[in-house]
Amino acid sequence: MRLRTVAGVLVFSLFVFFSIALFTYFNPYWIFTISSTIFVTQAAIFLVALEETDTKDPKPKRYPSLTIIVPAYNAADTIEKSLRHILAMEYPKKFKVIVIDDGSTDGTYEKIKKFKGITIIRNKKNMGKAVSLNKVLKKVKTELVANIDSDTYPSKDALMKMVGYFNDPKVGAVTVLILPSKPRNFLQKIQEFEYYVAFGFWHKSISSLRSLYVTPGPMTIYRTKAVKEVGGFDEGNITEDMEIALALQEKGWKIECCVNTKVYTEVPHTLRSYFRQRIRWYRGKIFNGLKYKHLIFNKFYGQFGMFVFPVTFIVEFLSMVVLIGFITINSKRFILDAKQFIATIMHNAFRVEFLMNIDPLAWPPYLVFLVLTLLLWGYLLYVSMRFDRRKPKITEIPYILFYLILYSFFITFSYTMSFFHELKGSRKVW
Amino acid sequence: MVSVYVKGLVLGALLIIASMASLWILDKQRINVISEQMQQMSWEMEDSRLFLNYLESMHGDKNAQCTIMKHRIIQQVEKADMLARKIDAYRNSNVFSPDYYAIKKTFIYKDFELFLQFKKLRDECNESVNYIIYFYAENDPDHSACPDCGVQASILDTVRNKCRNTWVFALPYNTDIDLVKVIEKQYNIQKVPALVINGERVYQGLTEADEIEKNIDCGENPLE
Repeated sequence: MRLRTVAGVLVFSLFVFFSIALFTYFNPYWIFTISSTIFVTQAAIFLVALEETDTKDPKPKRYPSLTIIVPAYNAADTIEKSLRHILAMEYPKKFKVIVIDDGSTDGTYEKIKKFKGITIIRNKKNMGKAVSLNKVLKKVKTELVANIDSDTYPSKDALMKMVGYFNDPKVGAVTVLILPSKPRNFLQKIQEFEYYVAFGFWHKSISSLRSLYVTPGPMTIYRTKAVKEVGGFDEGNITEDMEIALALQEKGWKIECCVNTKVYTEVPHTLRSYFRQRIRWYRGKIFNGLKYKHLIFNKFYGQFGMFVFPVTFIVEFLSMVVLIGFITINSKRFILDAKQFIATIMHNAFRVEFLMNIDPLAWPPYLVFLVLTLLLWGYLLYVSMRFDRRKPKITEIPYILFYLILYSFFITFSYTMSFFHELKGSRKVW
Repeated sequence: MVSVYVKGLVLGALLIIASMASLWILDKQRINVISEQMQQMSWEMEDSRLFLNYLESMHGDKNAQCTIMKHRIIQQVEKADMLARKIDAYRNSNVFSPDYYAIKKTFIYKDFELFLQFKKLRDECNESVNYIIYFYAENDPDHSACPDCGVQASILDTVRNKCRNTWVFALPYNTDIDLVKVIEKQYNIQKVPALVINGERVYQGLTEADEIEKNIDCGENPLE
């Protein structure tokens, strides 16, 4: 077994042990209170930042030349719909579309060939998204270059709404509101609300603080000069869309976010693919965080370096500790005395439990923080959906409640798994 | 211009303060509810006691007295049982720790007086009711001092559910309450959980339901 693996597992175990110890020796309510304070204050700051921003898109002073790059790998199911949407986008100038078939084996190339007016590049074998993008980038001569994924379906007005941000010569990239395409099952419906808050509220408010740290793969428009200045995309990085954003921030480029239009993308519909995606995201975040650790608490990088960037890591780390603590508290009895726990369930005839169910004063006090979370995150969701003029239907209320109450456990669990895998240096999976 | 960060911190602080305030208000509310119910319990017991004295002074029919007292006392014992559970539940939900032990102590004295009246009901009125004195570890919410106490409590619930003419009076073991110390000595209680059934049969350590039922005359609730 590799040394890295052993060391990683050891460090992770120490971390879990430390978290359990924290919750055993200190009153857990104080820990919940402190962590809630941090989570709530972070959200409050971003909320105020958003309220003070004008979310209207600037009117474009001119329409720069544009190339759209669409890297595709085994995307036969989605590439046709994607290209149809891309070619249907409105723009007063003709824009180039370059599609790269990165060694697909499922007939993607045949599907791409059907389209006219696009340039097709074919890699003999799979080289990875970043390599493909960089390959094409060398030849791009237009002022703007966009990356659109092969499973993304942009709205017709996406370009028109996003291009205005480039009036400011300091803007290096513009991102957009991303939503799941035709969410069908439970998992996808939950992700719909998550994407509203993540790509709506969080991205818009963080960008208003000049601190957006990811330019999402589904669709981002870059200023070609900026991308070339940072040396293109980081090859071999599993989240190259985050890495390039950090590189742009490092060089002082602004990253803006447009929430008045949207693009749709395919999202995982099975738990397995969902966790795979999330572990890739969060491992990438940890990896890139380490790569750019010189930005953290560095006064030179202003509020991005001093506050926004480090705080996201602190919050995620803290939420892992809280999750472990929560599990610890609720399973302490079970671990200490299984017999007692089973007996309590078996003899549950008249127990206090029934009192707990109907008397609100007997409910556990941390429910107050749950209510606070519900209200706060509910408000963030409302603000995010308002960008899209989207009103929730009555039938969607169970999904919304699940998202507001339980989803953070899901995410934190994914984050913990990612932390574990990244520590022990597991093989990277796309 | 006030910075975004200052406003955000203020907003965050306000939200947290509002939450803490709600917790504090809930704590106060819990104490209010319990105080009110304890007062109610006091009045009802005073009422019963005085009424019993009155009947005795009238040299009335013993049977009539017993019938009247049976109704009152059994109702009060049921209410006391609910109140005991409520006190324990509220104590667990509590955040800012008012002195629940003081409340518990007051309750224990009242409960004991109720027990004496109940005992009278069984001994003098020959009513077919059973009482179990249950010694447990006080202020032990996660059962680390007495791991079997939680199980014993559940077993007693099962017995009560089956034998509706049986009631449990819980006394905390090894505390500063002199009254309880005397009774512990009387029955030579060495450990918890311990049971004294109808003043005669003593069990120390975890006791199963069928063993308990051997010592009681299992029957219906006399009020039903």
